[in-house]
Amino acid sequence: MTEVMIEKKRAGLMSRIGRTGRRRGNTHLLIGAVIVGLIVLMAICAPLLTRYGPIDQDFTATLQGPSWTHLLGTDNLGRDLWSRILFGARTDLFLATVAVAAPLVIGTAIGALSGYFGGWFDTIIMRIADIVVAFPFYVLVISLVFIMGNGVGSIFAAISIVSWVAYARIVRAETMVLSSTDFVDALKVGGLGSGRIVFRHLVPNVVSQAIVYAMSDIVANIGVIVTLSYFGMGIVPPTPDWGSMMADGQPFFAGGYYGLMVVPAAAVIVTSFGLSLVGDGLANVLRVKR
Amino acid sequence: MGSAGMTGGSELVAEDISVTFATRRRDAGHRALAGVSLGVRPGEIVGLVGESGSGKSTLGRVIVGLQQDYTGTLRFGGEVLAHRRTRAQRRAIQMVFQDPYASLDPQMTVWKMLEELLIVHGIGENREARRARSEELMRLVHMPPTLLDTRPAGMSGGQRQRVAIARALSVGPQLLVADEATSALDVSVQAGIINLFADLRAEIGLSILFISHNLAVVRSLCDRVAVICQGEIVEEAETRAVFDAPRHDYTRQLLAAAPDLP
Repeated sequence: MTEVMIEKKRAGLMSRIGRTGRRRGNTHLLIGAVIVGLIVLMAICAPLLTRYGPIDQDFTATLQGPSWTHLLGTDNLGRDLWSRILFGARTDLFLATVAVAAPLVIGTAIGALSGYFGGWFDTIIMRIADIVVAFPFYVLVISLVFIMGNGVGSIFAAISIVSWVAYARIVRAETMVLSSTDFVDALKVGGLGSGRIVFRHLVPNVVSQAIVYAMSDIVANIGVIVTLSYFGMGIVPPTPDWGSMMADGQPFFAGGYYGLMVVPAAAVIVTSFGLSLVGDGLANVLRVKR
Repeated sequence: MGSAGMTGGSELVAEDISVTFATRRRDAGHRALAGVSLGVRPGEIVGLVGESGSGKSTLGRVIVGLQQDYTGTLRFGGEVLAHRRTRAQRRAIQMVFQDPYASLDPQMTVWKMLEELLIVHGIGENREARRARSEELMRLVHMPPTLLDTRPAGMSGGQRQRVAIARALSVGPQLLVADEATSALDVSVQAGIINLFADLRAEIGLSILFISHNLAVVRSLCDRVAVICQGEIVEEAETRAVFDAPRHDYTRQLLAAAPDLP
């Protein structure tokens, strides 16, 4: 009888934690979704929100402060900052998202198979993962840029080669936990094949952790893209992007033209903040109910 | 039960089954089962009792095909079961697990779980037939068929275990291995599941190997009892004989250690 009481108490406690957790998660998710949603919407509608093209130069209006004609002012080539931020969001957000999707899918598949089969397969996969992670990331990127030339392709390749590892590790661990319960044995006894067990039963139950991580990974990717572009190894000018905008603005910072650096930096910060909130909220909401 | 089997009529014979688990040290390994022989006749409920670590679950896993690394012979209906079984052989012996919270996929409705098994095993020619069979399965385990479209998350432990039993029955087994199938449940719920097992034997002639450490439950349900200790069966007889006149010391200890039997 005491077992019954303990069971009930635990159930009550769990549901209470679950409830408050979910409510807090929803607030975070809501605020984050609004921020990210607005930024994505602005990126998509960029041409409607500005009269200037992101690479249109106007040498009669260089290094201007904010005004009604140029909302955020112009840079040293007379390009409209507001327009460049909007179009830069397209470049950076799109690449950051695509560079998350591929590793998410590949890493999840590899991690689930590795955790499910174990044995030599698991050993080989995890050693490869160790090697990939041990290799200095920026050295890898720079070598790739030398081989493939800088631009979207190299960034995408470099991020993909490295970041599947995190997903594989997360999913592998979760899969192993689930495999140690009766969950997998029950499916095996039912005569289901390994492919079906892994992709129809294990993956749907463990992928939420990977998705939560993907949100923070987008933030990390934006950081990588902006950093590389800032150092001139990323997005090729004149394609607008927040990193190269900061690099372009740097020489004028000391001269008091702070906006040229502060505005793209603020864009990075606000976007990252929004995405982090979404990730945080999802972590609470996606917790699998057992 | 419909056309797809569940007629009963095959006898399980396990002969001289041994299982050794490799240990990290370079010794002989841990011997979980040491030459165990056990039979389950058609329509019979056999109890397998022993302490934790006695090897009773390992024997269950060997019989159901989860533990493929063993020596000895398994026969079912006269046919030798190879270490890799045919689909029909796998269907014939199913299992119900201890923890109904772990063994059911929380993402799937009961209907999806049952349907998947029916499709994989080619049971039921179309969706309607599979749905009808699933409803029949639910009734067989005394659950309202309306619960087919719900997920296990909202269910009680007893309901989940009934779903787990329905899932095991869906492929038409002749023998069910129930590994501590009632020990995670409340006492009141346990009784319901025990009665369900008895009903299933009566209704569809199911044979059951009932693995448990709960002697009271074994006494009320089983025809025969095998007592296992350190990988060996030390006593095997009619239930009444084992409980009224235990012949082996270990059995006496087990009985003495059990809290007052009703």
